[in-house]
Formats: sequence, structure tokens, C-alpha cells
Amino acid sequence: MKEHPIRFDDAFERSREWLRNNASALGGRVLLLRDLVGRMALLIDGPRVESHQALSENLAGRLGAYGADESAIFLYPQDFFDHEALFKSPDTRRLFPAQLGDDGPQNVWLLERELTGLDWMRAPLPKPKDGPEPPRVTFFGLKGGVGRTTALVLFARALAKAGVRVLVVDLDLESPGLGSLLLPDNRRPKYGIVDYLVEQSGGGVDEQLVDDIIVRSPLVEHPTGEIHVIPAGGTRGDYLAKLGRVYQPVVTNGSAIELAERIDAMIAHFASKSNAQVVLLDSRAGLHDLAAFTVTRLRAHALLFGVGTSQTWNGYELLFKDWMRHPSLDELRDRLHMVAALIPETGRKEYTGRFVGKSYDLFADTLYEEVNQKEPSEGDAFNFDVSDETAPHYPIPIYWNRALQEFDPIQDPNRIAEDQLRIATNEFCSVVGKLIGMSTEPSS
Amino acid sequence: MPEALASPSTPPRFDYFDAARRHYNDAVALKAMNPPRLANADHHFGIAAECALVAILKTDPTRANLFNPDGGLKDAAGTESVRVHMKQRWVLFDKSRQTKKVGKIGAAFDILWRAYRQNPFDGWSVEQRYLSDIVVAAEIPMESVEIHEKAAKFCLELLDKARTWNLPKAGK
Repeated sequence: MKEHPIRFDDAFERSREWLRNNASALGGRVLLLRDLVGRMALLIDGPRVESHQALSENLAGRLGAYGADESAIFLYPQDFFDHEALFKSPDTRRLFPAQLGDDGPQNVWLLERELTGLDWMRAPLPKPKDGPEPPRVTFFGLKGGVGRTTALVLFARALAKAGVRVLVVDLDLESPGLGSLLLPDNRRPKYGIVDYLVEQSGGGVDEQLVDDIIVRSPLVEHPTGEIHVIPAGGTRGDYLAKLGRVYQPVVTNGSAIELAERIDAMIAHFASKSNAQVVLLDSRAGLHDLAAFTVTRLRAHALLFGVGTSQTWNGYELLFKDWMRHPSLDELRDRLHMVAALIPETGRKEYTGRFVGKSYDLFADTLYEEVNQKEPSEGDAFNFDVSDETAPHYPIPIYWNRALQEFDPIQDPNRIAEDQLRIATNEFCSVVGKLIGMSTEPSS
Repeated sequence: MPEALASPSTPPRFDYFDAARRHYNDAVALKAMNPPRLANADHHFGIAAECALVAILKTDPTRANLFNPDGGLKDAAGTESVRVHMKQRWVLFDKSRQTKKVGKIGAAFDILWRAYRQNPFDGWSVEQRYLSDIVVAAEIPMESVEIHEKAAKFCLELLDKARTWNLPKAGK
């Protein structure tokens, strides 16, 4: 029988097992490098010694096409200009995370070279030094069409009616639409987020540009509460021509500033400009780079929208399994909150019960820590009871309702059915409000 | 195959990574002397950057045709010459980047191009090694040496990254 070639996943597992058994024989810290096509080599922080010859041949033999050439599968400090920079790369993480109870050698690290998607596994950006910032909430879903943007607008509306100053940011740059839910055509600004990002590397950002991007939505009239919007694009220019250029890092003083950092600073700029007390971020759906940093790096609570189908659970499982190795897992999982979107009108109790069970299984299998049943130590483990309503897995509900589907408050204000909307989203608004310490009870 | 990764039993004659690091370290040493030996430091920083760029080029298997079996760059014969010094070489790489001819190493040159929209080696010339002392003192101030030092370091760091993006394939 013909032997199958070694696959991408097999090769990685083989390299892990090999290092688990042999890392101690290599004589120093080890960095497993995996290049753009998945090919691997080891950077060994120690001298090249005689015994390495046999070890390198052995490893090369196990990795097949996913091992670098035998002569280069072991690399040493002298093979690089600054090998320490590789060990200290923001993308370097432990190959055997102790946080997962992995007792593999702790001096072995992994540096993945990928062209996209790295932000899913990166730490949150540092908080600004100049004082506190308003809380941020990201609205994310693996799939579109689950009412994410509508929920965001309704939550913004509830906050503003309660007297809160809200900033809404449309980061769904490839599928912009939030602006039209909050702004009539004659109030749409000249520019949007793509202009801000393009001008950063071009003509520069000035206060005139900022004024031409941010607009107050007429959706809520309240003595103190208000909604400011920064839409993805404005009325001017060629959107696609700008969108295609926003991913470029900007270079200032010789160092590259990546998109996540630029958007973080942009949000802070507009939050300060509008004196916002809370910032709501509409994320792109799916496992896209833009969604990656909106969920993981912008220091936001992340609302994870899903419906009770295997697509939802399988999709989140892919993401959560990778997150088990996230270098900032503690910080990340504290900010996750599952949302059960579009709960059907009939059989709600059973539907919600199934959702809770599936969601619990997902979290328990991945992001929750195991509790030592014999000697439970209070407060240490990240673990929750299945029925704990404050737990990340416990879904914040949004009930499907025709009023939600038809909600288009600016273009079609007469159709707003307040009673129905309240039934659909009151609980959602109240629970998310509490997460950020804000009431959503209307005030005058 | 990147030359420095070769087995010690078959060292290539030409190794642009080794050369880049050697020129860079010597340049740093010359600049740190009291008084600093700026002219030759500047010369070595330029050569260091040049070697690092060639070494980056060499990490791309699709550019193997530019190199001889001994690891050295081929002569100018052929469709494209890269045997030019720093000033022209920078321009050449910029052209390659724009025309996507650099294949997988395009990302490295993208980074380079974004960091330096203008060639930091404008004003640098390999011919400066023949200048008189008086002219050297006037034409090679500390300020420009430091610009060249920073750019050479940038190229070497970029080379480190480029090598981890494209590890050499088995049997090559």
C-alpha cells in the first residue's frame, strides 16, 4: 500500500512530540520556526555540538516535506544577525503552554510565520497612558445575518436614551452598512474610516478631516445622551480604491505601525473628540484579520453572536481551540460573552436550554480550566457552573421578532414597534449595560 | 539555500549574510573609535546593507538563477544585473517590488520600501573610499553615517525575518 505523505497537521504534531522528548538534549532555549508554507526548523540558543548531527537527521526524517533541508533544520545564534529578536517577537509563544497543564519542556517556543490571521493570537494592545478610556464593546459573529448590527444600534439607542454619550464605529469595512442605519442620506459625512486610514500614510490626518468623518445621529434626542457615528466610508471618492490600501502599515520614524494599532489610536481620537462614555465596535464577521484584532486586541468586551446550529459551534470551536494556546488567555477569556441571537418565537425554553448546553460544552472543552474535584481551590480556576448566568458561556438572549427584522429607524421611522423591540432586546441591553457598568433605563 | 545555513563541511565561498554582518560590525567598531573613523565606517555600512539585500534575494528559491554554485552573484551577463552598488541596488529592488518580480520575498521588499520611500543611501558612493582626507571630512559627517548605520541595521534585521519566512526546502 502506498504510504501517505506527511500532512501539515501531522508534521506539526510530530515536531511537538520530537521536541517533548529531545529538547533537553539540545542544550539551550529552542525556537520552533514554521515558515510561510509550514516548513519547520529549530533555532537552538546554544553551540552546535557533535551530537546534533544525528538529532537533526532524525528530525528531518520525521517531518518529510515540512522539515527544512537537513543542513538547515538546526539553526544557531550565529546564523542570524539578532537571534534574540526572534525569541522576543510578539508572535513567539510557548510550544507547550503550562496554562493548559502541558508539562512539556518550558524552554521551547514557537514562532509562526503567516501572512494573515496573526492578530487572533496576539495580546491586547497596551492601554493608553493618559488616563482612563471609555469601555469598548465589540459585536462579532462568525457568520453574518444574525442581527449583530441591529443589536448594536438598539443597544446604542438604549444607552443614549439613558443619557449616555455613545460612539459607534463601523469596522465592518468590507460590508459597511451601520452608517445608513444611524444616519439619513443628507447627514452622511464626506469621509469615513477608510479615509482616515489612507490619509495616515498619505496627506496626514488633521482636525478638518476628523470633523468631516464623525457625525451625530438624529436617532436619539436627549438632554445628555447622544450617538456619534464614524462610518466605514463617506459620500466622497472611490471606496474600493481606498479600502484596498488600508491594510498597509504606516511607517513613522523608521518603525511600522500596523493596522490594529492605527485603529486603536483612531478610536481613542474620536472617543475623545465626541467625549464618549462608551464605544461600540461593529466587527467584520468571520475569521478575518479585521475581526481578529477587533475581538482580541482593542481591549473590548467581545460579544460573540451565534445561533443554535452546528455551524456556530463548529466555527467557534476552531477559534477557541487555537485560543487555548493564546499567550494572553486569562485576559482574553474574561472579556468573552456568548450571545444567542434570533431566538425563535416558539419553543424558546427548549431552544435556549439546548443553546446553554452546547455553549457550555464548547467553553468547558476549550477555555474553561479543569477544577480539581478533590481539592477545589476557591477563586483560582476559570470555571463556571452550567447554569451560572454570569458565565461567558451563558448566552445573552435576543429574541427574534418581526420588529427587529424591519428595524430601519432612519429610513422608515414610522415602522418602529417599540413594544415589540423591548420584548426582543430589553434583556440583552440590560445585561450588556451591566457588563460596562451602565444603565439602559430611559432617563429624561 | 541561504548560504549561512549550509553544513560546516561544505562552506560556500561567498556568503552575503556573513559578509553583511562582518561589514556592519567593523563599521560599528570604526565609528566607536576615538576619534571615530567615520569615512570607513560609512563605507562598511553601505556594503553591509548591500550584502544584506543580496542575501534577502537569495532566500527566494525563484531567484536561484542569479547565483553561481559557489554562492556568489553571477556577472552582469544576463537579463538583469544585480552586481551594482548600494545606490543603484536600492532602485533595482524597488523596481522588482513594483513589478512583483521578487516572488515570495516581495513582503521583505514591501517592508523596506515602506520604511524608506527615499533611498537612505542617496549621497553614498562606493567611490568615496578613494577620497582625500579633506574631502572625506567635508562629505561624510556623523549625521549621514548614522542614517546609513540605521538603514544597514534595518536591512540585516529584515534579512533575519526573510529567512524565517522561507526556510530552505529539503534536497535543495
